[in-house]
Parts: sequence; structure tokens; C-alpha cells
Amino acid sequence: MSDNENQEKWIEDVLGSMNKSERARPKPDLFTKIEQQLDKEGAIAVPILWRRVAAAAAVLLLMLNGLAIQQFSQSNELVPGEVTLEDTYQQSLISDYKIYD
Amino acid sequence: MQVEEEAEEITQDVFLSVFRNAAQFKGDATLNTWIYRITVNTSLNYLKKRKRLSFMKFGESEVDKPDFEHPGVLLENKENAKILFKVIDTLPESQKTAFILSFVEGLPRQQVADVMKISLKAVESLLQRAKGNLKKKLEKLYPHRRKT
Repeated sequence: MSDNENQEKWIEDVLGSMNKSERARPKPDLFTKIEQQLDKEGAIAVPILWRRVAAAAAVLLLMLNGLAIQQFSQSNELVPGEVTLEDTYQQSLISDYKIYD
Repeated sequence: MQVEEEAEEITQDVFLSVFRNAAQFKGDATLNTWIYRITVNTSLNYLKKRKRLSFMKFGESEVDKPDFEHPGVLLENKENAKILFKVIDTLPESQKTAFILSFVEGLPRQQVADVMKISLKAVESLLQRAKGNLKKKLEKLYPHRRKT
């Protein structure tokens, strides 16, 4: 084999030296360390989650209030010819005054 | 990453990043690809930070670091793998990333493209250039190796 061929072969060998290699494995305690860090993160993340839930609840409450007010005002609008609760009350008052007639 | 402690630190950072950003995972790539992307970005940022710090610390140059021995390499390839990692380190960032993902991690070309968010053609071009550069460096090392 010529020197040039030797060089070519060596270069190919170096470039292919990671073929069939295995993955590097972490130390056994690394997962525990990560879990501990995630627990710390979780403790911080919960209040943020609750803040979001509170904000969503507040928005929902406002929407429901708005809807209720709108419906109430619509039902209070007078329809011509319709007898309202107020009318009935006044009529009963008037009839009460004529009790000795 | 060639130092065990640094690799551990980055693994922890990657897990935390996955935990924090899980809601942002849109499913446009596989979970595996997404985690690879986070890992590559975290590693590159770490290396940049280390480079900046070593630049500020006089006397501690990158050349001083010992040869890297990948723990998973076959016994008969150990010496060659040491040389390979030494020359990989001299490649530009994108070529290095494409080469490591393809030939060290053994990912398919399409997944490398997805991780790096580039086209398949761009990956092939990067790998071709990386191999060309590595061959040039190794040609220079060969005479020195013959003497030893």
C-alpha cells in the first residue's frame, strides 16, 4: 500500500471512529438532581398558575354580571298594554282606600 | 460537551428548559427533535459563555484542555476518536453541529435539518464542507503521526 493510500485509509478511519459507538451515560444521581430542581421550579410555578386561574375567574364573573345587568334592563323596559307589578301594587292601594264605600 | 461536569450542567438546564417551555411545544416537530434543538442551543450558548470567560481570564486558553475521550467509543477506535474530536473543535459552529448530530449522534439527515431549522440540502452542504475541512486538517496531522 502506498503512503498516499495509507494516509487516505487513516483519514477515513479517523472520520469513522465514532461508528458503532455507544451513547455516553450520565451518573446515576443526575436524575435525582434534576427532579429536585424541577420540584423547586414547580413550587414557583404553582402561584403563577393560580394567578391565571384567578384572572380567568374574575373575567368570567364580570361577563356574567354584564349579562345579568343587560337581561335585567331588557326585562324592565315597558311593553305597551302590559300590566307591571308596580301598577298592580298601586291599584291595590287605591282599592284599600275605598274600603268604607 | 467534553467535560463531564459541564455535560451534567447542560443536561439539567435542558430538562428545566423543557419543563418551563412545555406549553410552547406546538408539535410541528417531533418531541425528540424539539429536545435536540433545545440541547444544541443550550450547548452552543454555554460554549459561547465559556469562550467569553476564558478570554477574560489570562493564561487559561482553550488549547490547554486535555484530549477528549468519548466514554462510548469502541476500544480499538479510542486513539482515532481523540484525534477526531480535536479536529472537530476547529470547525465553524454550524459545520460542527451538523457533523456531530450526523456522525456522533447518528441522526438521520432530515432530523438534523429539523433540529437546525435548515433545509436537507443545506445540511448536506454543511456536511460536505465539514468533511473537506476535517480531511485537510488530518492531512496536516498525518506526517506528524507517522513519525510517532
